[in-house]
Amino acid sequence: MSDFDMELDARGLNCPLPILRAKKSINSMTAGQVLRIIATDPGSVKDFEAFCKQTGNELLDTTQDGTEYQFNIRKS
Amino acid sequence: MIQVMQNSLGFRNVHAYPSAHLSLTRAGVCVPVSYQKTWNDGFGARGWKLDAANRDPAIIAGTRETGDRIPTSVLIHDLLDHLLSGFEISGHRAEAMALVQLGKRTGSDIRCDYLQMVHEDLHNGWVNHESLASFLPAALIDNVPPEQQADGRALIQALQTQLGATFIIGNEQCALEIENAAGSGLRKRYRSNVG
Repeated sequence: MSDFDMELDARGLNCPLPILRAKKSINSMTAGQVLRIIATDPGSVKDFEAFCKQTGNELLDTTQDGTEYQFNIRKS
Repeated sequence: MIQVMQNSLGFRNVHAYPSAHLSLTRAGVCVPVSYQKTWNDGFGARGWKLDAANRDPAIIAGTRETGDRIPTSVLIHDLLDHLLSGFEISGHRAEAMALVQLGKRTGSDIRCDYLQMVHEDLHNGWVNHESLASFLPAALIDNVPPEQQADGRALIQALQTQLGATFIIGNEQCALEIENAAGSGLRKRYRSNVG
């Protein structure tokens, strides 16, 4: 489990809002910092893979706990 | 007859939209949309975009799924509350007006969305498609020196110094804040300490 610098609660939001909120959060962070996102949209797993591939940020890990998904993304 | 596409307040004339964005057919209103599995727009999102918004980098694609709190999707919000209501698809001013449409259409409480825009964007001095000075009510920025009005972050810091560290931006609240500040007898710079 990674440490994180900022946490984003995206529970209850569906695509594309978790990505939109994540991008805004990452914009306010400095390179190397880690954003943790908690989401409930099953589609967010694929969405954050595509988001990191396109933005160059690093998807450190993805975990699922029941209906919740947790993503740790390091800003490039 | 010349149809004006957009007036000075940003309201768009729906009847003047190009047919590539909206057309009337015997079957009804036709609004072209496009789908991509992954849009190459800096978000990488999947889903639909209105063709009218394809070239706007601020627009993110949306799916048809709705969220838990607001019973409408981003795509339908863009379509009904922005495009067909005569508002730009992006920009804080357009979003603020389109959210009112969304609230009336769905019965949702949009205050959280307003507060989010205030706290995440306006409080950081950022407004999309216009300057913060043009976005805020004139009465709110009248007492801010002109040299601090040009930069959004400088403007918001000046307002926070005058009105307190946290304040809600809106015409009615703005008038109340100014009235309260004038009648409080407190020096404005210390108001945030009082709460």
